[in-house]
Amino acid sequence: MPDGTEPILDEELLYRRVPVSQKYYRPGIDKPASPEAFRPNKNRDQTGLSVFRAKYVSPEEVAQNDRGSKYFVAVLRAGDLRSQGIEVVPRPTEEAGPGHAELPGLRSENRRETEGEQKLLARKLSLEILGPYP
Amino acid sequence: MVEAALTLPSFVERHPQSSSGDQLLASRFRDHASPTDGWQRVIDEYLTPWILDPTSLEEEDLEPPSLEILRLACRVAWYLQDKGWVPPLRVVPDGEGGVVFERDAGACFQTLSIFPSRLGELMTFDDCRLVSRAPVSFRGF
Repeated sequence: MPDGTEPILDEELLYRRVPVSQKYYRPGIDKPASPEAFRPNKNRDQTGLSVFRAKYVSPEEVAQNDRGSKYFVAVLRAGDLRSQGIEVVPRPTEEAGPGHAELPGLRSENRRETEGEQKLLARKLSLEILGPYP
Repeated sequence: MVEAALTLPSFVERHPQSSSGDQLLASRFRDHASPTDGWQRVIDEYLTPWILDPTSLEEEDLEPPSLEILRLACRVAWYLQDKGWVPPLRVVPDGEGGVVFERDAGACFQTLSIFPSRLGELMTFDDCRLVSRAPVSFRGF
C-alpha cells in the first residue's frame, strides 16, 4: 500500500465530512447541501480544506469519531475540482492517516475570498452525499 | 473603498425584495420557493430548537452562535417577513458564532449573514460567482 504521498489522479473520489448537527444537509429536504459545509475551518483548515481519498478510507471511516458525533460524507471527484481551477494535493499525516488530502486554495485565512469556490463545491461539484454515519 | 454598513431598516429600504422593487431577483426566489417555505418555518425548524437546546450545535472546532445571536436572528426573520422579503431555504450556523440565512433560486443564490459582532452582509451569487456583497448592521435591532 502506498504511503499517501503519490499524486491524486483525476478519477479519484474524495470525501468531505459534513456534521449532521449543523443542519447543513437534510436528506430528502435539502438538495444540495449548504455551502457552509465547505467553509474552511479557522482551526482545522489553515493550510487547505480537508478531504479524504476514497482509495484509502471508506465513508464510514471518515465519519468515525469518539465524541458521538454523526456525519454525512460529501463525494467529490478530483478531476471535476481541477476543471474548475480548484487544486487538490495529498497531505498524509500521522493523525489523519495516509488518505488525508487538502484543497490548498481554500484556507481559513482566505475563506472570505473563496466564497464562490465554496458554493461550487456544494452546489455543482458534490456528486452525492452519503450517510449519516455512524 | 469599503461601503458603510446600513442599519437593518435602511438596508431593507435600499434592498427591497417585495413588490416595491428588485422585482426580478424577488420573483426568481419566489418562483423557486416551495409552498411550505416561510420565515416562520425557518424559525420553527431551525432557530427555536437551537434556542431551546444550544448544546445541539456543539461540534468539534466549530463555535456555535450564542443565544443572543439566535434571538437576534429570530427578530431579523420576523422583520424581513413583515417587509415582504422572500423566505430563505434554511438558516445554518457559520461555525464562527454567527448564522447565515440562505436563499436558492437555481443559478442564483443569496446569503444574509449575521456575525457575532452584530454586523452582517448580504451576498448574491450568480452561477456560483459572487456578484454583490453589501454590509448591514444589526446593532440596536
